[in-house]
Amino acid sequence: MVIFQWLGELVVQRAGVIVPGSLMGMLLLLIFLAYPSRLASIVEPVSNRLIQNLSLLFIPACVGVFFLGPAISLQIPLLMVVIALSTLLAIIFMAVLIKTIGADKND
Amino acid sequence: MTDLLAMQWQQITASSWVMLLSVTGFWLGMSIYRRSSEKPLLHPLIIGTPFIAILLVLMSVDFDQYYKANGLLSWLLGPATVALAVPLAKYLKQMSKVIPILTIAVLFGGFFAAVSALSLALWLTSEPIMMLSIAAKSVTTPIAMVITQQLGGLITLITPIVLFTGIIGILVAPRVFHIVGLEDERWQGLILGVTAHAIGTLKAFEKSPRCGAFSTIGMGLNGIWTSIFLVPMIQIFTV
Repeated sequence: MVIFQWLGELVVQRAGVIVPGSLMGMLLLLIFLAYPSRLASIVEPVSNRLIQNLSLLFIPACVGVFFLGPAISLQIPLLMVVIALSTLLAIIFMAVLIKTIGADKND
Repeated sequence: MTDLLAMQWQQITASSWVMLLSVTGFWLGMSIYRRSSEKPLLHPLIIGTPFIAILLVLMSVDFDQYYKANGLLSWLLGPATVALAVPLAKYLKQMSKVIPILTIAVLFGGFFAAVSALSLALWLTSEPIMMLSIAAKSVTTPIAMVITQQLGGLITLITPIVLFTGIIGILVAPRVFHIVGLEDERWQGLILGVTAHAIGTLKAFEKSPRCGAFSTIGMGLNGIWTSIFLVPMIQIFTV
């Protein structure tokens, strides 16, 4: 089953020169899965396991926060304000947008 | 082609016992998170990463060494992104009737998320490198890394930025939904995916598979969309 993940990655590397490789792989797999086949039942268990433990994969890079240089570290509080504000704004914007379209009413 | 494979193989085989630290940190974070009845502020990453950082300092292992030793985990991010296609495909069929609304929401939402971050960064920091590093903040980590690289931002910064965005996202989103009165969990999921990427999606899956599916769609489409518009846009502005 892991071989299938590898296959996905392989196609990715060949096709993905401009678009991020893994993103291209995701699109390719998506196209393949659109047609009913046995592929879905083979790929699904692997994919579920990977997605469930996604947080673990972010850990190495995240630990890097504590090892940034002082010049960048000084900017971090300001950066956090910017991120917090813009994320809040984006969520409000999208919630109001969807409310305005009235998408949440028709089910 | 073979170069790429060889590079990946090297990355995987560079892994060592130090990787156990990550697993331990993750396990510790997870068990505390579960015991706290899954409060967002006690997200496994918030508990786990300082714990690992302290251990690294105590054992005098430097970060580069640690990061290399975790090659397998970093490499898995690729297949994990590919794996996102499975829930996407599964739910995309059910979503056929809401695709117009979905598309509008992702196009405007994704654009707004990046532009709001850019303009606030411009206003508050006036550091071009910060702006470039923050632009891809709402995009899932593997995609954000590539975008940031293309923009010339700081790759080391983008992961914590993306992580922090996700945490802020899952913290404020429920309150915003409550205030605005958005109760439909499909759209809650979509917003979580577009603005808070994988962390938002994780949160959405905890709520319900349907919420998670919409979140996955939001995250996936926003990742594709942002990588399309952001790079050309920045290039126009910086010339």
